[in-house]
Order: sequence, then structure tokens, then C-alpha cells
Amino acid sequence: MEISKGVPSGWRFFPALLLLVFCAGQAFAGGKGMTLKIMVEQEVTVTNEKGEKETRRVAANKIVPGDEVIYTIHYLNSSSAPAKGVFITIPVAEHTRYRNESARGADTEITFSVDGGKHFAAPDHLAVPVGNGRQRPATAADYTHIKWKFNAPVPPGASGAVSYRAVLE
Amino acid sequence: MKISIFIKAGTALLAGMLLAVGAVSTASAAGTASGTTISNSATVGYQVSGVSQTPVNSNVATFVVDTKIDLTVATTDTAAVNVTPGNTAEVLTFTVTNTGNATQDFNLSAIAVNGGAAAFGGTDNFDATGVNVYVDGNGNGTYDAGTDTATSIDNLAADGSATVFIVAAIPAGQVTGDIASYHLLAEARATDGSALTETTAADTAGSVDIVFADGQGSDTTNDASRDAKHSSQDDYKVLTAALSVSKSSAVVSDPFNGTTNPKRIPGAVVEYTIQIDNAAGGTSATNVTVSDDLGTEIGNGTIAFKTDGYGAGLGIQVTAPNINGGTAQNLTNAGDTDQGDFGATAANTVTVNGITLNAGESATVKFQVTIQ
Repeated sequence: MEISKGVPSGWRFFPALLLLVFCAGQAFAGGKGMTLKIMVEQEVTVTNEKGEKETRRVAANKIVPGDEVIYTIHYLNSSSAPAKGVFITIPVAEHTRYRNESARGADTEITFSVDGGKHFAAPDHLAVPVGNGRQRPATAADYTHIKWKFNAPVPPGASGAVSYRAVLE
Repeated sequence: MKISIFIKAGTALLAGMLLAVGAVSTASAAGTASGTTISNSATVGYQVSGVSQTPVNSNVATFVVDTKIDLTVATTDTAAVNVTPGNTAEVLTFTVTNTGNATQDFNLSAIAVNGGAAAFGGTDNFDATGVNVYVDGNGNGTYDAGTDTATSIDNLAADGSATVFIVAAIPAGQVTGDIASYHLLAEARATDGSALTETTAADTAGSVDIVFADGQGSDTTNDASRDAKHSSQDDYKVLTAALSVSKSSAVVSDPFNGTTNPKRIPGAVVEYTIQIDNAAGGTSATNVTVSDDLGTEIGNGTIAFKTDGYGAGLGIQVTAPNINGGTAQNLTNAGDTDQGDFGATAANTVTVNGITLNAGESATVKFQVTIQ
């Protein structure tokens, strides 16, 4: 936040600072800071005008078990301040299974949880208990949550998207 | 997932974990049930000037699981079913499995192969008669006439399977090696029995569409992939006993030469040998009865049955694998408990019964007459 702008004199500075911080906190909490919009799509193969087959993404309207859907999460920093330490999390929806190596997100560190979102780690650091205190390496089917940790702040007005694919069980 | 679980940051993760665990237990082989709404939403956490902001939830993305129509028909017979000509209820056995994600009805039909390759080798060369398809109503895996009467499957749940029988009669006169091959063709139907129509590309979001996902089965004429039908082929193969009988005679003695080069003159003793052969490659013949009516010859005075050909009161000799350990057995002429008689079962007739012949085995019946 650029709190020094528009503050003309020292004796007004301190109350102005408090006010700005207060307003900023309220504004973001009220939904004018970072916003998220999620969409779920499927890929269909269609024949285009040239008679060529091409893959298009359409809203996920016709999905039966075994089909793949694509979740895309669009983010937007609609505030005037950079958002730092940004992370987006999403559960792997009930009845779906994370498609291995499908998560995408530019300049993000992508980690996964196999314990309902309590702990996140890279795929090769995840294990699930198999009883008697033993563990086995986790697979994509074990993931309960996905997390994108942004490596850089999201500037004011900036937007982007992260995505992953899942298969309907 | 419901978005509401993420409203409070402090409780969001715990709630998410519980639901995720629940998801594992509801998965099944046929897949998520038709009509299920799949919802998901994301959450973003961030800081402004070092102050953590209340996590922000996205909207909720949803889609509705559509109806997957899929089925598998498979015969449970591991080889052609051996059948006997004249039997009226020979059974081919199949299972029909609903591999879709919704309860469906299934229509069933038996499709005769017309001269094509049989399922278990060989070529179809005849049709059975009175062909019917029945569902195993009591679920015991065996066709029960009068009990298993349904001819279509009603309300088979996702992942469920039913045993289905093709029941038919085998015409008398078919011979060992004849094959009648059939496809069982099953078609998924709506639960009211009406035909299903696959939803075309122009569909409505949030509606439950119908997608045919089945493969092609054995009946490539009537069953394509993605047509809500599947099929499996099975064979009736005739396995019967092919009995042949031959009769020969030999002169045992005459009144002048004795047993040395005897001639067929009045007073001579002639032994008849009746041989019964069950051809190799067929099945066992049980309770074979041999009878030789001598009424004409005895009536016109040509011969007389020799009542003591094999001992006092023993005019018949049988040699069969199942009698006396395969060693020749002499039989009384009387209609008693042994396997043969002369004149008791039928006048002037040699009768021997109770012979069992496996494929490739033979038996002989001998008796003697005196030329008059």
C-alpha cells in the first residue's frame, strides 16, 4: 500500500494511516481485494468448417463416469494494493479423482494434500498410512486438495488463472 | 463439495477433510450415480502489507453426472454345452451386467448364428427349436423351469448383474458334433421398459443426459458399439451315442463231424453273435437292450433255440464292459433278475438288457440254435 500519497502534513499523518489501514482491511474482506471465479469444462472433439477434427472446451454438460473435466480458477486483484503471499487452494471434488500432473499455474509452487488439506507437499513427499504405522507413497488418486503458492505478489489489477483436471469416478 | 464449508477459515480444512474421506467410500465400479451434482470451489488466501486477509471463496462450479448406459453380456459356459438330441430344455448360461451408473431394464433376445463360426470352435450347422430366453429369477444360477419365467431384466441396479438362460430343444436326429450357436443380445432400456435415446450434442447444462458407452459384443450384425446393446455367443454341441449292431453266425458242431469242420446240416448247432458298438467320440449309451426275434424261423420249423448252449438252463451269453467285469456272463433263459431271457420278455425272442457302453466300447450277445 502507498500510504504516504495524499497526506499533506505530519500532524495528520498518524490518523490518516490508521484510517487507510482500516479501510483497506475492510475492503479486501468485503470482496474487493482478491476475487476468484471458477469454471468447470470438458474437452470435446468437433469437426470444424474445414472438415478437420479439433478439440474444444465447452461447459461440462455431458459427463459420465470416466470422463475428464477441467477446473480453471481465474483470479483478479481488484484492489489498488499488491497481494502478497497469495495461495489458492481447492479440494478435489467428491466423486472425482485428480488427474496426475494436470495442475497448471504460472510462477506458482504446486503442492498437494492427502490429509484433507492439513498438510501440503510436493508429490514425492506425500505418503498415506496403510496401518500398523506403515506408509506407502501417495498417488494422484489420494490427493484431497491442491494448492498453488504464488512466487511473486499479484499486482493491483493483475489477473490470471490456475487449473487442474479431474476424472469423474 | 459445498462452498459453505470454506466460509470460516478456521473450520474449512477440517470440514474439507471429512468430505474428502466420504468421497472414497461412495465410489463404485460403475461410477458415480447418474444425477449426482458435483460441486467445487476454490479459496484464495493472501496478505496486504503483512496483514493476512480473510480467505476469499470463489463461486461454486457444478456439473450434473449424466446417465452412462453401459452393459456387458458374457457367457459363463467355458466350452460348448453338450446336448442330447430330443432333449427339450438344453440351457446356455450368460450373465448380463449393468456397468452404467443408473438402474436400467434390459431386453433380451436369442439370435441364432446362421452357419457361421461357433463360439468354441467348429461351425454352426443346425438350429435348436422352441428357443426362449429366461432370467434366473431365484438367482441360483441354474435354470428352473416354471420358476425362471421372466423374459427381460427389470430394474437392474448399477453394478448389478443377472444370470440369463437360453433354453431350447435339440431336434432328434442330430448327430455327435453338430453345433447350434446362439448370441444372447441384451439391450438397456429405461426403467419403464421404453427404449433409450442417446442425448445429441445440443444439450442443456444441468440436465441429466444419456450417453451410450457400451462396446460391441459377439453379434456384429445386431450389436454395434455405443448402441445400448451388448452380446455374447455360446454353443450347443450334440454329443450322443452312435450305436451300430452286426450279427454273425458260426457252426459249432454237426451230428456227424462233431466240432471238427462242422457243416450247416440238420441237427447242427449254430452260434449267433450280435455285436453292439458305440462309436468313439460320442457319449455313453446306458441301458442298451438287444433283442433278436426268432419267431419266424422257429415258427416255420427252420431252427430251435438251444436252451443249454452255455450250461444247463443257460442259453444266452453276454460280454459287456459293465457286466461281470467285462468277462463273458452266461444268462438263464428265464425272465429273472439277470440281464437276459429267451421267450419271457417276448415270445421266441432273445432279450438282453442293462448294457452300458461308453464311447468306443463294444458288447456281444451270443446264443445258439439247432438247425431242424
